[in-house]
Amino acid sequence: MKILDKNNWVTYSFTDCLIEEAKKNKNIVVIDADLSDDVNLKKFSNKYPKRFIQNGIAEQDMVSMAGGLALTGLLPVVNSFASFLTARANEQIYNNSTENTKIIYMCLYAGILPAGAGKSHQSLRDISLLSSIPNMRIFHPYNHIEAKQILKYCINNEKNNCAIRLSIGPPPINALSLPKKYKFKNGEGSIMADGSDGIIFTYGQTMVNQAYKVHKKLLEDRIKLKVINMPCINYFNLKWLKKNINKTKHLFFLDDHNINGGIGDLITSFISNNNFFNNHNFKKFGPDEFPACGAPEEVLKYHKLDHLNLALKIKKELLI
Amino acid sequence: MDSRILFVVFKEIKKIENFKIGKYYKAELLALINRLNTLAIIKKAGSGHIGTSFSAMDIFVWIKFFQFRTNKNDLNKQSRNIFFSSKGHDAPALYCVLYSLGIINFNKIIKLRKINGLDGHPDVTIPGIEANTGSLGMGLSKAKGIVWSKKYFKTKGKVVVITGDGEFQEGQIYESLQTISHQKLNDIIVIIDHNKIQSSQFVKKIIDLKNLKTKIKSFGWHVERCDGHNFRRLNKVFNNFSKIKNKPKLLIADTVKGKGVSFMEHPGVMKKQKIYTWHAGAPNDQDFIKAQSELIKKIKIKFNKRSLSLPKIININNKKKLNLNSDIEIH
Repeated sequence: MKILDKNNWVTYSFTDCLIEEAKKNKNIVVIDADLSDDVNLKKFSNKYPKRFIQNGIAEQDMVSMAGGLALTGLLPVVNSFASFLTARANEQIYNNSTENTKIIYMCLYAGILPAGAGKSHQSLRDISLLSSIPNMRIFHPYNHIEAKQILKYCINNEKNNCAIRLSIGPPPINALSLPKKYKFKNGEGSIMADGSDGIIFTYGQTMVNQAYKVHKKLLEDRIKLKVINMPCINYFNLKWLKKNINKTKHLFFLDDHNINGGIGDLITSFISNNNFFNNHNFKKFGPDEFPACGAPEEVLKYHKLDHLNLALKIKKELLI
Repeated sequence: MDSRILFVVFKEIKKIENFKIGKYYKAELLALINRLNTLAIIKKAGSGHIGTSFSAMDIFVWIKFFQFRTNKNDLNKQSRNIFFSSKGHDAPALYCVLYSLGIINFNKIIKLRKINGLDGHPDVTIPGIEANTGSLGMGLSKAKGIVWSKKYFKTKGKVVVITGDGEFQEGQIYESLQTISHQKLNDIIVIIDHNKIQSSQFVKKIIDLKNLKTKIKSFGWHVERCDGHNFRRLNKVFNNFSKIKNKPKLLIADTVKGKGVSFMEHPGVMKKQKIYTWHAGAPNDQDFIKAQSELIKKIKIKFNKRSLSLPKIININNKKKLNLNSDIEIH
């Protein structure tokens, strides 16, 4: 049997990068609520057993412990499923944040897929739970390359707390590559497919690839939709964003999160608060009910987030 | 109406430290003065938690001055002793003790709950405050992180955290009791300020903690219990703790909510009116003067008994100095 190559999985490359960084930075410690298998953290604990804290299924205690570690100058990397970590321990995350320390939260199993485990596990409200914390930066890397770059950025350059949403499972088949010589810049996204009729902002392996399928579908009608991968969920570079949207009327947002409180809400309010709203037509897409359980295609279709449904809706907007 | 808010300034408290008297007597004097100051800053603020500040005061004084002292110059040292409150609403008392140690300054201490002053609950930007608080039950976990770090960096210094008793209704407490013991982070000391009242009612009436000692012991902890207002007993417990290396340590300190002002002490209050009315909020002018007079009287008696020179006092409303003997009439 062929051993599955997992090097291009977001979670596996994340852990590899964490190990590389931990070699350079003795302050990095990892704390886990017994969900290390899903992100291959065993590799980290084998390499650095003294810097890996197994805290059991006790998320609140784990997060506050990370707070204590951070108060002494350590850089804790806290691991659990996004839905458990950011919801159950939200008060503890908030409290740590008020101490102006820096902690990295690994928000595993972010987004709607895989959808087999159901609504208790699919994390579609973590962005809204974290984005009102003033010193919290939320990221969702698109693929294994971006995951490494974002983690390096969070460890070495970011002053604020970081929540890194990680999609679990393999990347979609025929997943799109990031632009050549891609380099992550905080607050900026990257153009995955060019176009002049409208822009769709999205993030993460599930939705970026959906958006690309939409792009291809719309080309059949000679509609050119620009696809922007925006891994920075709640912090935007004003200049970059302005430059990208000032010549485009139709702006679309595709969230791998509940439609309320996701990137669509955050970017549009950023645009209006900074007074560069220019008669844009905004349209947000994302699940607006409890996520369905099922196979990936079934679930995307159920929520009308499959590429055919999205293409139809976008076409309608562009023809107004 | 007498609108004087009386307060003993740092310079005067410093003198007490140099008195040639035993440490227990000294602790009593410091606790009395700090109760007066706590009452003053709460009155000035217009709100604050008196009951829990007074029940924890003797523990604060004992730990911060005598047991695990942290001086102003050590605040940034990794090897310092770390003490913080998990319940947090006892902050007025802790702030006053930090003021007494010269860590918080006068301009801050008189600005409790005011902008650019001292937050109503602990904040790490305030000198000497080690951790923030929120909904209850987070302190043991945080202390655990600090102990882990001290072990990792091989640095000295004790880690002590104080909690409320009602706080032991929080689930996170039991997560942390379990993980601390499993992870063998035995250098932690937890003190429960067991004043028997949460907000305005008996803990046992809200949700009874049942046999707390047995319960905590069953998590693998070394547990002791003593009178939390008796410095000799407190000293003995900490001496015992220093010999226990194989278990994390917890003290159930039996205390009285509102300790130090007769009509605020919970046994009397609960007997009379079945509801504890000194949990939060500043006392009205009449009650304030009554409480202040009682504390001043106690201070005078305590100092005079050993013929110690009385501390000079100021009125924080106009910053005028007053003489305890001639200017202040006991009501």
